Amino acid sequence: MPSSGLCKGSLFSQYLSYLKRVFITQDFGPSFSSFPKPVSEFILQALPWTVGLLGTTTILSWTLGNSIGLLAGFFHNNRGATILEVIGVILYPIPYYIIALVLLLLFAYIWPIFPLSTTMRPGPLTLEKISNILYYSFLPALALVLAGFGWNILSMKSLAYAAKEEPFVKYARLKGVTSWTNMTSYVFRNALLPQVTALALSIGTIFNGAVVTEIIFSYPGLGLLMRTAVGNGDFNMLYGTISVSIVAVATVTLLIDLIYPLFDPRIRYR
Amino acid sequence: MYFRKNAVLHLFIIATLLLVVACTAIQPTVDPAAVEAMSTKAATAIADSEGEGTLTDVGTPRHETLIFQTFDRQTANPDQHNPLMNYAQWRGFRELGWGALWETDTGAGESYPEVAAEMPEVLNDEHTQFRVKLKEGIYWSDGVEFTADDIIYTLDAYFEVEDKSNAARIKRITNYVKSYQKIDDYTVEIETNNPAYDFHTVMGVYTWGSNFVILPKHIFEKEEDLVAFRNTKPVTLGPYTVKEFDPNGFWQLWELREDWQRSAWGWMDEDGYMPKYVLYKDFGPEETRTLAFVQNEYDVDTFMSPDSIKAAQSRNEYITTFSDTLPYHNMDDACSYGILMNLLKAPLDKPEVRWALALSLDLKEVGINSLSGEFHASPLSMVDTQVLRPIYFEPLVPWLEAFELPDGYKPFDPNFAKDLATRLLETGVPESELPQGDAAISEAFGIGWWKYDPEEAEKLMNSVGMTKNDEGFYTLPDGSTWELELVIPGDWNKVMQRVGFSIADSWGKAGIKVNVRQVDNAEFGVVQGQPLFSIPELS
Repeated sequence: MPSSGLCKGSLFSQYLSYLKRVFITQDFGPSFSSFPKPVSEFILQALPWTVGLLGTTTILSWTLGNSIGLLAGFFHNNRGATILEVIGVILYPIPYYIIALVLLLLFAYIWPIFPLSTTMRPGPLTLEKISNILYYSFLPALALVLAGFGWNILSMKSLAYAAKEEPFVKYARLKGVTSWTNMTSYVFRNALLPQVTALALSIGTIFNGAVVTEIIFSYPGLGLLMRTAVGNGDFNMLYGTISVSIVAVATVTLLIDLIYPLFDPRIRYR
Repeated sequence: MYFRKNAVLHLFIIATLLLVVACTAIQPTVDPAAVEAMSTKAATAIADSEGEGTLTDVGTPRHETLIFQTFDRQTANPDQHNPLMNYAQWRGFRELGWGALWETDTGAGESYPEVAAEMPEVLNDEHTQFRVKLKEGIYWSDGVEFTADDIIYTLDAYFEVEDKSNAARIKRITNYVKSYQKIDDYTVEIETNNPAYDFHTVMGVYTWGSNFVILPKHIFEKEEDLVAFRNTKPVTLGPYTVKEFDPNGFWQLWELREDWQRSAWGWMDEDGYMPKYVLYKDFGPEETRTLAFVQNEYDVDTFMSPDSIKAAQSRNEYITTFSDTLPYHNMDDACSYGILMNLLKAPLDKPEVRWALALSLDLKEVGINSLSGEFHASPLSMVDTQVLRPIYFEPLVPWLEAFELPDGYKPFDPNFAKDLATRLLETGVPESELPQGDAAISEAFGIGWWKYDPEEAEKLMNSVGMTKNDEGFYTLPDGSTWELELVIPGDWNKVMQRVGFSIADSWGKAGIKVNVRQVDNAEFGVVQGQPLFSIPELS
């Protein structure tokens, strides 16, 4: 068992040792409940599942939500826009776990086209395994997408509606720019900026939702690992999973900040 | 503007209604048409499974696969199958994979030889030397014959890793065994450190498993580091081998050996049918598990709350319990739930207070409210099983009935079971689901319990200076309110969670201020392991 380093050297050297272990060697010690297997091995195994599920659903829900919100805002007098807004209003306040359970009841029990629990087969990544993963990931992903995109619809709708009334949009319309160009190039690009900021700020919340979803669907990701560690009193595992989660959320937030100039030319460094 | 305001109001109402509908949809009750559809579906599923073609999630024919909900849900250590270490908490190893010298029929309370040829022969008057004869013709799953060499090697290995292993069973054996020697290929002699009358249950199975898990010498002797060896594809003595398992720890599939008749207990098969596959799988939290059970996705569950069982049964006529009458289940589990108290901490150090707690507890209401009457009470700290009833409980009934507290009060209630049955009838339980006759009622609900008598409880409390304050709560002798902290399981044990709250409610009505603290599995274990901790706990 590697030395914890907690009782050796000065406080500063202990802190350095701690940082080295977390950021360089990713050494969180052995799992207490699966001694002596290192925590990092468990994290390495679980991380791709969470990253895959969370990455896909975040992109999907953000893209879908904003697209629907844009349509609802730009064509706000249209009856279809109102319906889209209704969808957003309905979905936005429903917690992740309610959506997850309702989806389970609908699509795994009443119309059992999807499984109630996740069953991943071991073995190499073949086409069959990929389709297996997609099949078992569909409902957890749908829960996350539905729970996430309600807010995007509502906020993008408001932003698009406000942007549509801006003088430069009116000017473009009077100049004869087509509605499509007006919506995508004038309204969407301007309304998008707060949405990118909101995405960066909400990554932590989205991660929380993924944790709950993984527990309900028995999805073998970081969230379930975290929950199991709590149940088992596996402090090293908790320490490792929480540390990795914090680093992952902070990294994604940083990445979003870094790509912000792509959306807003005003803040590009020249 | 008028339209927009109304639209928002309408949307809010619609959203609220949908949310309510969504929430109520989670309740087990659905409309009759849906129930009928479910039953038909369940029947169809069974009909399908009886034919060939339906496959399980792990690719085995459903009609050849017996599926269990894993008792421990996800295992933390799925690829660790080395008995010298804490191996994966799959339920299959003890039941299907390992072979023990002696097994125990917990229903009958009797041990019997499994891979041993007979019960151990005692060689000296001190009861420290034993001769163990092994059955001939038992083979490991890879075709190598099981002999005395495996027993000797296993003992050698236990002593070799005793200071390195994290498995408590290793020390249990190395502290127990003094010496051992092979006599011939099918005979060993073992000497214990102390006189041993439990040799067959320490070296064999007591209840959950054996401390002495026999290792295949021909596999383990090739390994340099016995502690690091994970034995991921174990060679087994039992009739099944691990075919496949989920590296994430959610399921494990066992396959019947082709030569299962010459395995550790293949000889026990009397009906000529052993399922080809046995799958242990976690079907998720109880909510999703119940749905899976209704859909015949698995066959056996051992840990489900009464409400979920009822809900599942109402939707699938094929789901049955051990008995048609209450308490429906086999109550012979060697493990019982109870309340543990720290007797070293005031005021629980006073017997009067402990008796007051017992007499303030309306166990009938607790059992009806939290367990729908599906419980079996034992007034003593032993489990009232079919084995112990005639040899322990029945002889003690006269003593219990005559037992008096120092003030002459007789606390035992021999009519508890009968009164409970009457109360259950009053609450609407059909008579056909209640046991009939005194003997059956006693067998179902227990031999008796302590009286529910808050007045006597108050007398006892007063006798040690604990009186009720203006709010109706008991105070300590110094005048401060007595606050009892009750540690109970959280969501991981919904049954005991409910029982805990119900007990707190019962005590609260009697004037005891109870603070309930729900804890996770690990913390519950920590609390139980700290005898100086100042709280009573429910286990």
